[in-house]
Parts: sequence; structure tokens; C-alpha cells
Amino acid sequence: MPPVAVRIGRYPASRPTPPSDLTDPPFDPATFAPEFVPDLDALAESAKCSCAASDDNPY
Amino acid sequence: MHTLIASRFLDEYLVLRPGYVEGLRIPRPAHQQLHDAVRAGATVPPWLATAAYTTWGLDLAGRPVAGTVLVRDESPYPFGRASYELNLGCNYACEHCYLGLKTFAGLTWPDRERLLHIVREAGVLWLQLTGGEPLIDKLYAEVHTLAYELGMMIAISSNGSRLANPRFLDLLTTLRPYRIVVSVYGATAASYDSLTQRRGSFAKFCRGLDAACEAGLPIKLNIVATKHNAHELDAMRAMADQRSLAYLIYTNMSPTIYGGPESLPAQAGELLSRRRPFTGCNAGHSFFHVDPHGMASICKVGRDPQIPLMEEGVDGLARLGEIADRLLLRQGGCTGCTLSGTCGTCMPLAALYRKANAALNTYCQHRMPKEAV
Repeated sequence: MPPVAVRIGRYPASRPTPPSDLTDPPFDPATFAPEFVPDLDALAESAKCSCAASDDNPY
Repeated sequence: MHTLIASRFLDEYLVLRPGYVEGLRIPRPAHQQLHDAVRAGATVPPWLATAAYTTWGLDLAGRPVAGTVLVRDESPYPFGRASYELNLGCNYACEHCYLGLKTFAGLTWPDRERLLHIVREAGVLWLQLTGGEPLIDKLYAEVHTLAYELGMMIAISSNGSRLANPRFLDLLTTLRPYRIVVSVYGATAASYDSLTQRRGSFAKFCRGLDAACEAGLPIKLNIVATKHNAHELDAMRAMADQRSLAYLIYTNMSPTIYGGPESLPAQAGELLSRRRPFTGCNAGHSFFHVDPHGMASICKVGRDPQIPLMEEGVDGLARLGEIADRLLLRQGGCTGCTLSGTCGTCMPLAALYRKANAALNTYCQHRMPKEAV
């Protein structure tokens, strides 16, 4: 069975949102198959400041 | 100590192994299952035991989740990454350094403990520990250890001078960071020591880098090309290639964090390059920066206004998004700029260049050659 992608919905980043406000789509409890992420850098990139203040930049 | 971390990251749920770039994306109910398993004293579920073996070669079958997987509570805050300047003090005196006054100062240990708990509570999964030179900070080991224990993936920004120290090698191989980014300031003692203004610094850098590589630590290089070492750019690349290390090259010098111009003369004129167009920023929204005194800002560039975390606690971070939106608006001479769509300088950085009275061609397209615009 392929991994189930669960999106919990994006919320305005500047507004803290309690997890209880997040709505899950229907989920098959029999499926807990994780999805392999070969390079977390790419995933973590989404939370970086895009211009300068990242791990890799001297600034 | 935990072997894996299970955590929410922005709008996803992950299982991570500290110090490794491979990870697992899991459904939210799977995260909840792990959370419940800790309370129930259950063993690692088969789906995770299988995935951990496949991904990291770990045999977790039959082991209790508690103590094996650090299952982080969900944070109501939107942050996923942060940087923490432990101390602005440094053992080098590089002309190009954007910190300007590199004062040795930082929080006491009790305050740092509280700060790290605030950072964790904010939802931060990736934490950069930086300085100054963080490894010369007297409390570095304590900060690293607690950040690790709290379930954060640690990235260290360092000049590498202390990496050969057995105490640090032991710490970093035991509580493995996600990454160590080491700055490269030259390929020979002549240029390196000239740039750092410290005799013997190149030898220390080489010893540290080689010791870290030999220990199998996750090293990445930042090649900083200034007028002091520009002639060695190819040799610096070769240093990285010889060690099979990934690297980035930085050629544009920035004003200091106070808007001072003293770092700008280090610019190698021939290496001044156009920045990629600035298309928006997550600073203040999913990323924040904390200075040595516990003052939080949207990033290392836009430091004003700041939020005193030791006074306001984690709730203070809720204001950063609004601050970021305001700081990033084009203002002053940039208001209504016809070239803003292709501008590579974010507004907080442009503001520092202006304060430093920097040459316009170092940050503004209007003074760049037409073919470069």
C-alpha cells in the first residue's frame, strides 16, 4: 500500500494556531507507512530565510 | 539518550535521526501513535522498526518507544528553524565580519536553559548555533547538550579552530550535529592568517578540519572570498574537493549588523556578484534569530525591533510575523522602485547598506552595468 499523504492544512504563519484547530482528512488507521525523505535539506529549506540568514551563509 | 526524534515540522510530521540527512515523513496519526506509545510503555511499532532499519540500519524491534524515540509535543507556534548566537566573541579579527563589535557576552546558564526551552516550545526543529565563534563560548557544550536533549537538530557555524580539541570531538561524535559549517578564509597560511589577523590560525583550521573529517562529522564548507584571499579561490575549492566536502562560495561583503561600513573594504571588487532576485522570505514566520542576550528578531539582518524572550517568553514570538511583514516592505529610496521585481537585496539588508553609506553598486541594480540588470 502506498504511503498516505496527510496534509493538515497551512495556516497563516504569523498567527499561532493550536493543533486542535487543524483538520485532518480521512485516514486509514491500518496505514502508517512512512515516506522516505532522502535529503532533509530540501525539506528544511522551506523554513529558511530565503535571502541570507541561513545555516550556509556567513551572514 | 534518544535514537530518533518524532516531531511536527511546519505542516508535516517527521521522524529524524540526529546527525543524518535522511528522514521519514509520517502521517499525523502515526505521530500520535508514537506519542501514545510513550505513555503506554509500548514497543516501537513494526512500521517504524522496518523503516528505521531500511533508512538508517537501526534495529529497534522490541525496544520501548520511550527512551528510543523522543516524541515532541506539538507546538502551537509556526516556527521550524532558528539561529542562536551564543556569544559575539571570536578568536579571529576578520575585516569582513558583519558583527562589527565582537563583544564577549552572553546569558548565564540558567537563562540559556530557559531560552532553549522557549526555542523548543516555539516548535523549532533545526537550530543553528553560531557566534562569534560558538566553540570558544564557555557554555557551548552545555548548550549543545541541552538542545540535543530537547530534540533539536543542531547545525554549528564555526571557523573550525577548535574542532581538533578532543573534548569537542567527543561531544560532537556522541551528540552528533546535523551539520557543521566551517568557514574557509584562505588556502595558505599567508592569506588565511592575514585575513583573520591571527598567526597560526590556518594551521589550527587545517588540524580542526582534518580531525572532524576523520571523525566522520557532517562537514560543509563556506568559502569566504575577500580581497585577502581572492587569488586563492581555486585552491580553496580544491581543498574542499580533496576532502569530498560540499561547499558554497560567498563573495559579497555586507555591512555590519549596526550598519557600519568597516567590513566593506574587504570586498574583492572583481568578485562582486549580483544576488538572486529576492522573492520573499520566511524570516519571522517560520524562522527567527536570537542574539546572545536572548533578544529575538526575524533574522540576523533585520534585528530591529527585537523581542526580549527572557521577559516575554515564547508568547513574544507571536509578534515576529507582523514585524517581518513591515520590515520587508520597500521603503525610503526603494519605494516604488521599477526594478524591485528583480532586486536581490531584501529591505533590511538594503537599510544596512544605506546606513553604512555603501557604494550603490554593491547592493542596487540602478548602479550595476546594464548587461547585469
